[in-house]
Amino acid sequence: MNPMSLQQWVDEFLAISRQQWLLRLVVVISPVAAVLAAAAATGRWWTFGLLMVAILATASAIRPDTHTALGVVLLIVWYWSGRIDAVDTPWLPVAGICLLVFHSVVALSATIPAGGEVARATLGNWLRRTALGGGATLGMWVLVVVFDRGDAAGNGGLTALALVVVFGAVVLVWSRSIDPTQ
Amino acid sequence: MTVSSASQWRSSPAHFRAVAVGIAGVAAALLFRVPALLVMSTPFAVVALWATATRPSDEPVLTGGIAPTTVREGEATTWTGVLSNVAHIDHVVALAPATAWIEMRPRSGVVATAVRHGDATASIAIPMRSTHWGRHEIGRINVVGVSSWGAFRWRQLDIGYGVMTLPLPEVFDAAPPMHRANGLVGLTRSAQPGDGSEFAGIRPFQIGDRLRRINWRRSLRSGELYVTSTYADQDNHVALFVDALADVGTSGGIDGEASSLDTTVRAAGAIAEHFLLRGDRVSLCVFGLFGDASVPPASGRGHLRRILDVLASIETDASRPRSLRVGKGAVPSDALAIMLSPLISSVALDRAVSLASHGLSVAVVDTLPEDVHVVDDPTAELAWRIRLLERRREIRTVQQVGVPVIAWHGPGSLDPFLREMARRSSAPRMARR
Repeated sequence: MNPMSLQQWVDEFLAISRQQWLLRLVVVISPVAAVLAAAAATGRWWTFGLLMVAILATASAIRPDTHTALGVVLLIVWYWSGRIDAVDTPWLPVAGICLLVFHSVVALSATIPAGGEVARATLGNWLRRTALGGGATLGMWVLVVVFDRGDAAGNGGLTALALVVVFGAVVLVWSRSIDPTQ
Repeated sequence: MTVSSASQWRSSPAHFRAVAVGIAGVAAALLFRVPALLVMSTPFAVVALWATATRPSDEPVLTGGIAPTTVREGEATTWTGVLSNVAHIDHVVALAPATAWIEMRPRSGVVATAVRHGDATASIAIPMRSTHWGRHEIGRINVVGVSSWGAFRWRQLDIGYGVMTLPLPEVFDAAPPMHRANGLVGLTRSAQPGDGSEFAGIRPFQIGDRLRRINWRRSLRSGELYVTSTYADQDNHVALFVDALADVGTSGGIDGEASSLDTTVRAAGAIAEHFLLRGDRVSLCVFGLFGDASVPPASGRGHLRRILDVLASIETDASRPRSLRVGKGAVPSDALAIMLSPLISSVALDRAVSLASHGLSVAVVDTLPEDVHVVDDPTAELAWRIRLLERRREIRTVQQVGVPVIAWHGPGSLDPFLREMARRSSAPRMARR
């Protein structure tokens, strides 16, 4: 990344469109909301996490086309996985959907310079897709809760099958993601 | 129109994030039996698989162009890019780099358009408005195609474009008649009899008279052939001299303040347009410009475009103010010479005096802005005041030898001078031969 002068930062700040302000506000709010969901699930505040997430989310809002947003997601996922055992809490899909919204809006913000505005039709498409992703999250949560309440015994075969499916997905994603010339 | 070459689709940090959290999270949830991790990773896995499945396979082809490439100040032109092979592309973004004297709409120069499912091509346009005369180079326009979820991007730089902005001539009009000239075409009545439309009298037929000029009524009455004589329709040669040695004042484009060169160029365009539309011949000589810049006398709208083209390409050149030839040149002695200058350098005045001494009717149009802000430096301010005093003295000296110096105020600026020229045209003149 090229080093930017203070004047360039100021110019870029002043050039941000109203729509981009709103998008970047969502970028900051959505992971903070995920942390608040974690706080609601555990019943206690995670002050350090809230601060870190807010800082990293702000950095992601300023520079959406970087890997900073990955740090935000990993931090929240690590906290939730390590600290919260309860699966049937309704705050789990809320946190998942917040992370999806965060990812989606950061990805959208990264596709257009700060001074530009995304077309309404594009916003509509992304909103529909995010809603579908949220539905999948909700569906997975329901499935997990059903299995959890049913106290289903572990099935080695199903787990192996799932891992094969995941491996296949990895191969598919990997093969289609890399540059064919490389 | 230009056709750019194809480039590659590349994955974005967003795709990396979705793959890393989605696939790795689901795998870790299965291996370590963490259901919460599975729930939180699921949307990322969905996004990763969705984005991968809808990765565009074809390389789009960008065809870009800007039209029109020549505009007047304040007019708009539009860059249009057409992208073909847009299957699985979510939206297209175009970014025009900031260019001096070019206003983009929107101001950021960023335009985005959604690509509907099933469309074969996507079109994107950036309107631009030129606010100052001259040739403006618009940098390379960046076009980015984005796949679903912003996972893959295709980027192409369109070639740069040049937009020629012709000066918008100020409003100008001149009511007084022009001075007498020797031309035999044009709209102004000549003092010489000839083939024109203005009635001069009725005289006996002479050998060489056209038959259509015979006045049959008078001829039948008198029994001899009489013809209706007319005055020749004259044209005038207006020689414009433009001083491009210096540019003083602040230029704010067509919507802002005008620098001395802005006023000079726009006034020259206005005067040229006025006389050319009357049917007169106009020539142009720009001094101080890098290289040769002169337009020979001619008339018509095409000639106006030639003059405006040369005016639009003017750049200031203070590097060689004293090396100019200040002779009469190829300007005929019956021409009306108009010198446009801020009179910062004495070269323009020297040249005006030289032209006047050869018998030409010369007027100097002063284009220095009324309020020139000097940099906040006492020495520079003092120097500027001294120069203005010198300038005032030089102008007075030139006026004393009979060359009028007129401040440019738009319409009617030249009226007193033209009226005086018309009055003087019948009087004998002294000229150095």
